[in-house]
Amino acid sequence: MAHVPDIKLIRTDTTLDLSQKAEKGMDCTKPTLRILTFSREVFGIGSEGIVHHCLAMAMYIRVKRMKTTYFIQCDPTETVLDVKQKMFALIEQPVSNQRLILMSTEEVLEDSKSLAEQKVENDAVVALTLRKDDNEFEDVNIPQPTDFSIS
Amino acid sequence: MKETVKLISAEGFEFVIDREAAMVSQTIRSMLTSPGGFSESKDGVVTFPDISTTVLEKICQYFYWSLQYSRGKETEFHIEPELTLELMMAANYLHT
Repeated sequence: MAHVPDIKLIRTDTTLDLSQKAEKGMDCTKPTLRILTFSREVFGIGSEGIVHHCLAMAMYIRVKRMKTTYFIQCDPTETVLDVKQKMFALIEQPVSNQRLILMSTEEVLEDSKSLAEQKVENDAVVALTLRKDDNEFEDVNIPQPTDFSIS
Repeated sequence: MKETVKLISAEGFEFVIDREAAMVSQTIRSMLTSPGGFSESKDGVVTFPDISTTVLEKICQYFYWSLQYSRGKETEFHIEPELTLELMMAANYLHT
């Protein structure tokens, strides 16, 4: 897997370089403008909305049930209820019918507490269980693929 | 347009990830965006009969790591040695 190059450094240098040239009266107005627009789009410079979005992407967790894994973007300050609401958008199961269990400790996560408080970190695996017809929650069900590879 | 896409492994395990994460892969990006070409662009479901579940999960983790990295969070991406070969073959296919 290729490393993502550090575009930010290149971007800063190029922008500076071109604006200096523009000050000296060289015809570089258009490229400079294009690069500035590009950096605004990509890195959120001068737009608070995008900066906020970057913060929200602080981490992700892997929510697993049966053969499905949901990658959920979240922030350590968000509560478990926030995560359940995101799950609702995906699986259409009401928040009250969801139970989330942190796999590393097997603790049931509480709605009102934040992810950080309950030691849910980036890349954590969280099991999802749903309420059954008899009003009880089902057991954790995360099957492992039996074969390492099928060829 | 749906915000998430579903990737399915050889063993039929499903990974639901954000569209922006899947777009890290050039191959998936063109599958999802080409007009009228792939049925994947309509449904947002992509099946990989040649990629095992373990490798596909690692690839999804890489997508998110890559997004975080591009936003300035520099952490290491850990790869188990026994996964390396399969992962490289998948990465080559996915242009990742």
